[in-house]
Amino acid sequence: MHLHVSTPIKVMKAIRELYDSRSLPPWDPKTCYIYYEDSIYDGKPYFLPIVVLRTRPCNWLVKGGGCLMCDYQRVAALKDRDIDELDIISQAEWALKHLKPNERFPYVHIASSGSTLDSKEISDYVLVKLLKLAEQVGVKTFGLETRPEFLLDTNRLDLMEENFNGNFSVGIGLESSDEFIRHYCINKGFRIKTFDSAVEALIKRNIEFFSYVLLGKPFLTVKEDVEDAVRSIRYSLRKGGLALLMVANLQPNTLTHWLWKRDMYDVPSLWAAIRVLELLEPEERGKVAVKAFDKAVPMPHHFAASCGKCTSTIRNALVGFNFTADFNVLESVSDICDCKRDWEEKFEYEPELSLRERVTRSYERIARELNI
Amino acid sequence: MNVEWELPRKVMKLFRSRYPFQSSMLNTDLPAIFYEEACYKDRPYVLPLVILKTRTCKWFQTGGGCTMCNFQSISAYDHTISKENIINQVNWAMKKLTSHFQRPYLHLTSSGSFLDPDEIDEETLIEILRIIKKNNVEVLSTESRPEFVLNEQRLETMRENFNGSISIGIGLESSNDFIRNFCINKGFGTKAFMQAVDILKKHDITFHSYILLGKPFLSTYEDIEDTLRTIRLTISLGGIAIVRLVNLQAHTLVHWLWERNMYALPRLWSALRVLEDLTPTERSKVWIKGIDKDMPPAIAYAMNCEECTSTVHNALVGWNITRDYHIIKQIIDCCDCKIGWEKTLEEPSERNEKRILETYETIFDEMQQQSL
Repeated sequence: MHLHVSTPIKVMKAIRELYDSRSLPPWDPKTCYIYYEDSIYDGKPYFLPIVVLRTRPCNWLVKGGGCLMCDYQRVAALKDRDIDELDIISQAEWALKHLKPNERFPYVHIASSGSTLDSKEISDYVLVKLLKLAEQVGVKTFGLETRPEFLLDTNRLDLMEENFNGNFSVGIGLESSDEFIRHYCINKGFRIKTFDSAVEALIKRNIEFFSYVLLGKPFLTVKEDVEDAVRSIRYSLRKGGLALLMVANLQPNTLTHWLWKRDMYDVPSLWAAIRVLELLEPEERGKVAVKAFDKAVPMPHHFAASCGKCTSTIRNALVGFNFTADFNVLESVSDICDCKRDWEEKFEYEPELSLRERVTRSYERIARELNI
Repeated sequence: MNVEWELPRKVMKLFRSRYPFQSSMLNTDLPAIFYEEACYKDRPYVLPLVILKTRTCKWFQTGGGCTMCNFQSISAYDHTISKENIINQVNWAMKKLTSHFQRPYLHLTSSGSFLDPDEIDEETLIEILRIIKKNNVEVLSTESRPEFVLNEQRLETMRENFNGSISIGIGLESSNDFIRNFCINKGFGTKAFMQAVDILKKHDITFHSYILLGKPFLSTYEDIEDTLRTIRLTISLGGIAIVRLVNLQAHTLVHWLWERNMYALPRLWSALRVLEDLTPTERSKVWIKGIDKDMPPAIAYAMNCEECTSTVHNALVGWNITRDYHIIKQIIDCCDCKIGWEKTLEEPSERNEKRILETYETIFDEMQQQSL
């Protein structure tokens, strides 16, 4: 089989069809998800509330089948679920009323079911309402996330700046700085030059950005995965941003889940996350946090772990790192468990075939089994 | 009311005879080690806890042991243990802990009371202190029942052979004699605790109390109030308070009650309420432990609901690491499941001795009826 540029898209569309008939969890269009991430704000430990609005699904899910580890559609208005502008505003009001930003949460991250800056998800009218509402209730820093192509729309950026008198922090799912990996291992659907242009647009306006970098990409060896994450973090930092290392968890109804069921994939070990940080310079580490290893929306099938004996200690050390940026806490757990030796062996494994050959073979099998 | 003070001891002994503990073969040259989140010299610190396998706690042998404790599982229960075995364990632990990093703060204890000469004899104690001093330990934390603290000779040996800080942890559990006896079967009175604390002060040794949250037979409200009183007693005597949330251990009366729907683990909300009700000065002396790991590993740990357990758990981990109460305040009402927990606070607010004694009678009858 020749690895064609359209292969990941075809596969992802087939995967989505496979799961299309599943029943979706109960869903109230007037409320949304809120969860809290261990973070730092203003130099102090901070729980960052992540508000996930129920909107129309990610544009890339509809067009290109979506990313192969993502099941965000479970929170979106899909199938017979409809959503209108007033619903989304109600959700934001509900969330902000609950959070009371002026008392406890000056920094709030508000995500939609795909890209906050996609006007199909959040119209101009809703965006302005959200911004004004946030400002009114005391939000000082407004976090959001979007695919990079929507940052190229200067009107949307103008709207943001005109209607909110505070700081922004924009998250972009870069996942990998490598074009081949981003395309074939994630099916991300954008090129690095789009990311670069988006970042330039933000920097020109003095808007902070951070990249989501995926750890636990399918088809890669442990070493390739770790090294790619390190390179991608450095890429984001070089461009003037921050980085969130997203430790893959296993979401149902995804290609990673399909692969996992066939022993072709599993989420990474927590040791891999520690190794990524070890490989970074101290000043780089200060700009990185590690996420998704213990909570996520929607709830995954399982999270990354190490072994039964040490997972809790390692997870807690990661929480401590996220709250303090003190690498000492991770360094001091790096020798606590014998299971690390097994992981080291996996890390040292060198495959005979090249990455391209391995990806090609994997897609051949996937295509065969999916009858594509 | 005529209170039969020996009742818990009778029940625990009956429990031990009905459910004799079968020890698995264990390597008497290897100690148990686990790690807890802490803060040392104002920085996050992962504290190693080394539990030496020694003879089983004397109180377990003479009084049936505490209602929630399964420490006998990691002791040399039916094995003979030599001085050489114990020294081998210490050497092994120190080699493991200090080959990559300095770990200046160490918790090292035995399977019952470190100061009980039947567990650690005088010669062994001196040798252990020599080894840890050689390994640059600056702060040594250990554990003992108060009656062994009254032996001043032991304290002098400690002081003469270790010039760093020493803190002795005492399982006070509750400052109330009735609760300590009937809910925990602890086997000592507040008076013994107070005497132990006085003697420690004389020898320039600090102390910390273990205080149980989630005591059987108490309502949520009684449990929290008792915990607060016990913390305050500890602090007023110059100690540090380690609040330990009960986790579910095999071979315990708590487990027996849990199987019969007569006991439920505390909610994490209870731990937050304890912190909330303390003054900032009191709070700064309180740590929350037992929420996610223990030795031996527990069957289950305290939780909230599926949606918020991870967040509230991380807040408590963050508290132990950063000592910043702001993160606790941020999530103090992060989930609707708190409403259900608050309802449990409305249960009997007066400690009801009659209720507890009646429960004991039921337990006693049921156990007696069970055939061996």
